[in-house]
Amino acid sequence: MSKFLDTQFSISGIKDFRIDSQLYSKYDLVDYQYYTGDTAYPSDMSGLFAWFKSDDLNNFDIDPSGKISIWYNSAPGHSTENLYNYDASQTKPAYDLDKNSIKCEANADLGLYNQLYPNPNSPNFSGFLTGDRCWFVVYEFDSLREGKLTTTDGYFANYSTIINTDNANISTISTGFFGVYGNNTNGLEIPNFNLEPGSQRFVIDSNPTYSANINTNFSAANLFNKNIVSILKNNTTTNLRVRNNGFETLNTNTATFFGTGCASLRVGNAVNSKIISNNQGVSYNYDASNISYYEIIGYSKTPTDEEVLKLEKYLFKKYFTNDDNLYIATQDFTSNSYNYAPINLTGSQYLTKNIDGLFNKTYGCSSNFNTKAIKSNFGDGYFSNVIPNANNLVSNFSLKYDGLTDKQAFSLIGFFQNSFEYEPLNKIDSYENVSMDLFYPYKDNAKIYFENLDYNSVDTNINNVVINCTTAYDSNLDYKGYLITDESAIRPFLLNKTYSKHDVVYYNDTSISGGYYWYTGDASTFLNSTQSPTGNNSLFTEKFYFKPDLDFKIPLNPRFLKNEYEMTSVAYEQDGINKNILDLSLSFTNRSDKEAFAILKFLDDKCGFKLFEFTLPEPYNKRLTFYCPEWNHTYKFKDNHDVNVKFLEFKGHLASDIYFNTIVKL
Amino acid sequence: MSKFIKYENIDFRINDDVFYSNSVSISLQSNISPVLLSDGSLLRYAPDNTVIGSLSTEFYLTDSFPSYLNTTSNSESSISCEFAGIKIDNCYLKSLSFKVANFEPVLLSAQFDWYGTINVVNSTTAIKPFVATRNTNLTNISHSHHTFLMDVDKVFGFDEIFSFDYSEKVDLLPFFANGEIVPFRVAKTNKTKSMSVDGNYFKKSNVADIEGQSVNCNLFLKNYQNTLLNTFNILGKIESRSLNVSSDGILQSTLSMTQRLAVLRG
Repeated sequence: MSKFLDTQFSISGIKDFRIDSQLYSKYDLVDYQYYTGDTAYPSDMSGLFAWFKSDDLNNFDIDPSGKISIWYNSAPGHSTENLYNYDASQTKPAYDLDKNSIKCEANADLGLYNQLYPNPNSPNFSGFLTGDRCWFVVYEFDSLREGKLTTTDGYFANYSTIINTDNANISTISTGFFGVYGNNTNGLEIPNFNLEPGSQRFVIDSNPTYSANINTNFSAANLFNKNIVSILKNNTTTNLRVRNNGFETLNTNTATFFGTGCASLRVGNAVNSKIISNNQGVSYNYDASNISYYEIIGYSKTPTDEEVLKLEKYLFKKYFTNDDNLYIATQDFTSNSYNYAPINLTGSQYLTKNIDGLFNKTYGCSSNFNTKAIKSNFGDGYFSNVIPNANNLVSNFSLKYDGLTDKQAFSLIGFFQNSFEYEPLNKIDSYENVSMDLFYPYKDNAKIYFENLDYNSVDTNINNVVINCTTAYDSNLDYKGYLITDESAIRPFLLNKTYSKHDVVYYNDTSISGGYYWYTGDASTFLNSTQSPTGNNSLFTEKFYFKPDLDFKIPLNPRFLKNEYEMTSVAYEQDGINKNILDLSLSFTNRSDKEAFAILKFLDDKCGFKLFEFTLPEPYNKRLTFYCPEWNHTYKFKDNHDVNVKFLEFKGHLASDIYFNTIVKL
Repeated sequence: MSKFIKYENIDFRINDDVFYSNSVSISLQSNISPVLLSDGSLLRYAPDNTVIGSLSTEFYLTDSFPSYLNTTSNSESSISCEFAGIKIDNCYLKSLSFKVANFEPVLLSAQFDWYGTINVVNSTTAIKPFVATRNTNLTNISHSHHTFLMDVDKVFGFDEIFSFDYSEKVDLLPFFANGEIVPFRVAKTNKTKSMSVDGNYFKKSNVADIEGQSVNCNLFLKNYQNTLLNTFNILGKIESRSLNVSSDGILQSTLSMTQRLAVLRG
């Protein structure tokens, strides 16, 4: 059953995601949904005894240092069973404003980790020491493959607790630990955990006499921004089930693993003595143990399968916004389990929403920039540009996809027609933008809104598609610029370094001389202090120094008054000063990657309204002040670009836009 | 002293198969244009398009016709060609033709476009010996002796066929990803097959009715030993017909036909 209305697509053949040995071929459009049944609100299900959420700041007690000292339990009737940390502030987790989560960090250099746990002097979860139980945890890990601590045998293992429901931090039995174990890419295999280099696995601890040998059954964690893990333990049958993002990774009968009920609840990078003893007595990598929590829900029962699906759907809808949507198959595959869902490890290798790796943008991609500045005229040729908002530059892109097969064209058209179906992540738009790479030299991972599409059938199985789109949220308040922000464009000026023509540097000077500079020297030169952007022998400039094409036009439309009355001859009259204000268009065709980059960075930096100086070519040969309200760029071929600009002359002074020469006669 | 490499010491391979080729030529065409600036200076010569290479060869078929020489097939895979210490991996076949005339060996002519780099080694040190399989027995080469043309619908109207030319060709459309000079796809378009048949006098009365006249021909290319090397087919229309004679010649009639291949979508 599709979540989409068929009428919103002009293509047919979108496939539902299924797990009954469904065949998919590359470029298939696949409609993925979490679970087609209803959701369940956590408190509507019986047995709720723990509900820690991060919906608003009232769920936390934040100390003066900004760290969390209490995470309140929202489960009805359990308001006194909270998670605390009254230790030093550096051991407390912090609230992550961007992610709306609790972030537990670890620092190897300081030997610190953050955690929360029940207050031993207040009610805790020991009332659930025996009996059935289940946990639903929404969390996010940093990579566990990058720990820094080494031993003679290689790198230390990296692990982090997801949830620890017994009395952790003791050297005796630990049976309620559920965590993630990772190994560095260049580490050694960790024998007790079957953890090969570069891998990550779930781990459930048993008692000290056994290794945690069931972890090889689990899929790796930390694949997606967020993970939902469901741990379901039936104390009567000793059945233990673990589901990760809806995929059942484990279903076994075990009395020891994740054994008796809930004696406690510890979250964060809590140390666990069993892990240390099994890891040949060495410590773990603190640095690779960061974890963020979004929500933790615990029930004192074994829920039915339907209840599990309903609660997981509640969490999916809340934290996996837009992950149930249209995907593109990246290769041929057969889906025979939920592990092929795109939100799981295996499925993510076959289904994607990232089109940059699937479709080639081809030569002819173009961009068009136009400022929304409002021109305020003061007479005598003087004016001011009023900028209405921080995103004054309208940036349109035409992305060319030539040479598509019929299947590829179908897939690309469907992808963009579906872009209106993304739920908004802000309160302004009613649908979310598409994140994708633009083209040289514009930034990757740009947020674009699809505007229209040109389709052209060239021949059977040969199709050309042009996607016209707009970037709406790039601000001129960012010193890095709008859309040309890669490292080579925003690097600071450094002395004793070689620079070559059209290099761009950011001169980090708080005086008026600070800002972007362009190197104009023809030869690559090793610069000294006198050749810095403001040095006496500098070849850097802030002026527009690029030379237009040989065939250029400079039209002149002087301002004057022409009064013509009926039955009289025409009278020509002066219209103040500054009559000859230029409005010219210049072309810079067939320019190299580097020169085009430098031109576009210059224009990008001027945001469509900032002033700059430009010396008109012969026979004019005069330096005047201009601004560039619109320009366009076409990527024609490798190392070949066209840039067309419109320059409007500004009569005034560069340092101020309120410099007038008007003589007022009384 | 100058070194020369003789033809006998060079073999020509397509996809590692040795061909009994009697000529191979490679050429390159750049696409650049000068960039002149407003002060009159010359900035540079800018690349407008990629360098497109051409490779032409003529060869006798000594074994069954390989599938990669099927010009009008739906395959868009590249072909590798190698000779004289040069290997080109991104070759794309754009035409194949041959002429069948009385008791002549059939010489096939193929033309390729190619893109990207060529792997070159010193031709004087990478000479491959005259491989035995190149021509195990001269009687194995494609030959007109047993090669024949079947006019299935009997529309030729000749009493006798003297010779015929067969060709198939496509237009190649290369597509380049941004920043690349080697195409990610070289598509085929305008796929056509054509044939011209020379014969003697007409023996049909309605030979002038060529407008929209369908023609269906099967061409059986064989070697001298009567082994079938490949079957070609044209299912098209008659394009033209002529009849001519000169004082020093014989009465000769010519019929040309063409087929535009249409590939169904879906």
